[in-house]
Amino acid sequence: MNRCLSKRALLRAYLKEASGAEHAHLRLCVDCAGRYDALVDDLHAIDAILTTTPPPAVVTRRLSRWHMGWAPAAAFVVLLAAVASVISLHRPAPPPVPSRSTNVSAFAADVSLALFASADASDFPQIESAPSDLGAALEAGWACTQDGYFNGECNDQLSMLLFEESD
Amino acid sequence: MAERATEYDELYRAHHAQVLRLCRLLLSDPDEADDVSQEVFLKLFRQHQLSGNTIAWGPWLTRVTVNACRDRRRSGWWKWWREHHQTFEEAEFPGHGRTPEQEVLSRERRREVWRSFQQLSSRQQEVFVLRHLEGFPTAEVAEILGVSPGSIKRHLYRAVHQMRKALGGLQ
Repeated sequence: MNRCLSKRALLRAYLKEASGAEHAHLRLCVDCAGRYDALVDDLHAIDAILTTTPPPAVVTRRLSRWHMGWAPAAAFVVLLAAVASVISLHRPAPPPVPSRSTNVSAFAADVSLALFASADASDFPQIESAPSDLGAALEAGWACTQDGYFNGECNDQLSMLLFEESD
Repeated sequence: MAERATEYDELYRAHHAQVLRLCRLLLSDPDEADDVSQEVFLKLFRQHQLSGNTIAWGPWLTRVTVNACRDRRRSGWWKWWREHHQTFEEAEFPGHGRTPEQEVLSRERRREVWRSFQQLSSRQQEVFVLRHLEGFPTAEVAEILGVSPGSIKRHLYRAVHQMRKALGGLQ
């Protein structure tokens, strides 16, 4: 075997799975022997590290800067959006706001109705019993004049109210 | 019954170190390795109660250990934990008279080798550990892992190539 051994063949030789020809070449070829020695050295170094040093271990719950900075903020924004959408869905719709012209015309209609309506006069409550003095006054005119009141001709309460206040 | 218990004790003493080493390599976490090795020996205890000494326990234990580690690695929380919380813990080792430069280089080399090992696929890790570190014959590794011997050789070659590349980058 004249060709130098491939990396796979060198590994086979290390694992004692190489063919007789490969072993023979390895004994004769300085170049392949050097490459083989390098492979053996590397594998021994790797073995030593993997079997005698502890594996990487979890020491802290250290989070990256990205996780520290953006993840909670993004979660907060999403939560806010969710809450806002839920609130907006459950809130009753506000009544429609009338325009200004509608307001004015409605007010004018109310005033007009209050001033000029007569058809509903019977709907208003009627005074069933007016005070007797007032009734008497309305039916028979003023029974008493101011001079009469002060001269003692009449002594009813209505006259007293009228003439005492006006004094 | 007492005879079974004695047999189990002997099996435990004979295989515990190897099982723990396998778990530590395949999981890269000493605590998880302890946990999984406990599971493995619990399974051994139950199986031993049923089968006695009718089974070749060495290969059985290796197969169960590899599968237990694989299951642990596949579990969702494990993946999440390893991806998000993995940091490298520097172990303090005595310098043995080395210079500070040598010490730094050695530390860097350890880190790179471990990182490279962890970046191998699960199958490559299993093949590398069983065939190379534990020294099982190719045919036995193939049987344990349920793949062909040719596949074992390919995985091993790729794993060795990858690991040497990591090591070579520091030399």
